[in-house]
Amino acid sequence: MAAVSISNLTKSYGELVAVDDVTIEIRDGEIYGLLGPNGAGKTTTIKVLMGLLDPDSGSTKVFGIDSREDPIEVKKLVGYVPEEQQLYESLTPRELFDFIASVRELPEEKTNGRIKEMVKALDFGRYYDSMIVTLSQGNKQKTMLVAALLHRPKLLILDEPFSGLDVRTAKVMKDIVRIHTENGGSVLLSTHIMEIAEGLCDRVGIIDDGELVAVGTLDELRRKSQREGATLEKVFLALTEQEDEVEEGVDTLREALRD
Amino acid sequence: MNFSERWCLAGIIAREVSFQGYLEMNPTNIARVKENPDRIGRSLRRSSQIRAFMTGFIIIFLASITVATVGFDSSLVNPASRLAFGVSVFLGMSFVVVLFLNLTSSTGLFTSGVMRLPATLPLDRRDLENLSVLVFVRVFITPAILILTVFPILCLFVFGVLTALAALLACAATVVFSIGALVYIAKWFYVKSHMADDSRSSGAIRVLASLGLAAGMIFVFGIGGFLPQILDFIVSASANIPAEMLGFMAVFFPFSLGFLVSTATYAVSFQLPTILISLGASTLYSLFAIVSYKRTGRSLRALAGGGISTTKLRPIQEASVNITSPLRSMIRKDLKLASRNLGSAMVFAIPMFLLIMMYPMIHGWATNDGFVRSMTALVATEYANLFAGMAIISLMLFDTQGASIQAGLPLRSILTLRTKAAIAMVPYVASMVLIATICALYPLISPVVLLIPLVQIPCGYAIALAVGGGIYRAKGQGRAVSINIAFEPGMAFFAAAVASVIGVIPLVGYGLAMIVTGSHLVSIIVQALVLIPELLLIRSQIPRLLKD
Repeated sequence: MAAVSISNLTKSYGELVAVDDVTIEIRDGEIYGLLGPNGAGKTTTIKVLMGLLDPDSGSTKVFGIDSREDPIEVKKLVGYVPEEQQLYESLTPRELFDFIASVRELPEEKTNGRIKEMVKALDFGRYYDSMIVTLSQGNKQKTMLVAALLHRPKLLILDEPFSGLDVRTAKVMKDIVRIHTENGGSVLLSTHIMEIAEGLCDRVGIIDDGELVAVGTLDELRRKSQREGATLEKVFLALTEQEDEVEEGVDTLREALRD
Repeated sequence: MNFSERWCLAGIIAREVSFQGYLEMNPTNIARVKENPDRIGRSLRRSSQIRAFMTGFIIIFLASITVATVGFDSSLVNPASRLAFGVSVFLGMSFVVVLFLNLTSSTGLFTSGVMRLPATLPLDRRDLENLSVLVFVRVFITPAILILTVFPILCLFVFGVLTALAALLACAATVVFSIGALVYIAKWFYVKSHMADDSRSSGAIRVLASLGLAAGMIFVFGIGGFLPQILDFIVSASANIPAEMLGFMAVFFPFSLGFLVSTATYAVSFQLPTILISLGASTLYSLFAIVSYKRTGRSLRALAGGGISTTKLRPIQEASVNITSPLRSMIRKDLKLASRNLGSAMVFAIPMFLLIMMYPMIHGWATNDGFVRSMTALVATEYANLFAGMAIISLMLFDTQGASIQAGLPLRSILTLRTKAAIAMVPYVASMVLIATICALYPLISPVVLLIPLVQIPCGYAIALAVGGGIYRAKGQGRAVSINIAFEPGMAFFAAAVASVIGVIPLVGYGLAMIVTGSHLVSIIVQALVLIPELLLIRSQIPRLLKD
């Protein structure tokens, strides 16, 4: 069974069509990268998948469960790290994890063992009883990650998870994604960072202006964009037809920065 | 950097200080600022204008009423005592007004980031320190100037030059004290509200501090309605104070300064020891004011080094979780959020609002009729119902925090609503007990009258479910949503209307039964009998409006 299956999804905000007839299938055990410029429709797609938004048409399923019909069951299977870190700023990570584990009705002993290991791996012990508002961006991101992994989700959805992370945490984070799939889990990763998508993802879907432009492994995308041997960044710019635009922007900037 | 440049830069930083304080005050704004910064900007400007207007209005009102009472109301004791106590009341009230009206803006002063930008500019440390002081001056210049000018000028016209000069000295000492106290308390509150330790006493201190601040603000905004009575009461009461007691009072702020101003006006109206004590104490307070000024300056200069950072490296803690039921964990989480934010803690101050509003009304009706009628208790209970609608809205404000967490959790909307309803019962029960207590202070037409608010208590749950369910339906198509009253005043009206209607039904039952039978006992039974099916109906039907 597919971990995620999105069929002909369309979602509009008034006149703006944020997601236009998108179809995506993520295989069980796969790391799938969703790439796209700002406002391309990545986060809207994820929100519909999580049951946070209702689609105009089409359907989204997680392990066969319809997000619209049973969002609670979907959320039980998913660990979600959204792009915006709107945490409970006045709580400490300890209080937040108490809350999440209680809502998810997790077994205390197992959860404690799991949390100890994650906190140690992320070097997070010193901040465990500090108010979240006082944490750095990277430590907030670690808090989100631990929160998403507490219940051993079958599917991990990470929306721009690498922004603001130090080298050690970014490395640990990438390893966590890999370990998660090695243990049979699946990952949907939305990112702007091409190196990470290139090094981590089994397959990549490129979304632009709400439409899915291309799907495949890096080699398949290179062939499609006719950029043999190119980096994912070049492939991405070619497929989203942004090469000329970016070149022009850089030229303008060069002029502006000249004495 | 010359003064006008520093003044200009201080203005920019002062705006940031107000902005930070505004975000601290209301958690909704933290989430909304990214969503709609223009609207937050407008709301902030409006809030600053209202604060400046209220400060100005209250100080001018205070000064005018004080001078009019002590200068022209000859029915009140001797003129010297009148002036001494009138000035003392004015100084005491000014202290409270400066403290509470500006507390939220001052917390913004202590966030670590305020001086971050100027620190990147080519300014030396001394410039940065002076800039910190100027920022503070820009934030508090309006109340300070008003206190220093309005009261002494009015004294000049009514009592003469000497009184005006003494009043100026007294006002200057009060302004310095209040600003010193303000900086100290704002710093303390900022540290307390950003500190997390496991001790229960720390949590209790936070809640009490928040409630104290909420009560202070209610007092300041309600001061206009009570001031003439307070002044009249204190000045009248001063007629019965023995001379030795006056000497004792002259030791304490603000009475020593009040006696000083009175002595400057009427020379030897008090006994010599009282005059000497007031002179000595006033000198001492002036010295304290100078010390306080220097300490405040030092505190403010320290901001140049980056404010108070609440990020501290703790020893490695045992990483574990404490698991409870989902409902209890939701309640625990909301209570923690409420105890750590001044704006959120206001929900628990609702019984205080009710007390301030209802006590004079119940007192008036009970005094006129000679006893408390059932109609008095019914009206007071209906007011509490209306306030209950506002309480549930205040609780929905918490959910603007933690959107990222809620988005990923398998949380049913009904569970969120039940949490809010359970917490909303705390101020509702307190309100009903308060109404019964106030009624019990007066003779009752029947003891059953005391039961009207107490029997109504379960209705608080029905009100919370109906208001919350209605809002979730109207605003989130049935999904749990957060509410910001500042941006959605319509929702506040909706909540008040629904709460009033749901709450009034059992009370109407009481009223109709009273008209028909004339028996209080039968009426209270009817109230309960109407309430039970209403509660069951709401409990069973509201989940149908919700969506996960």
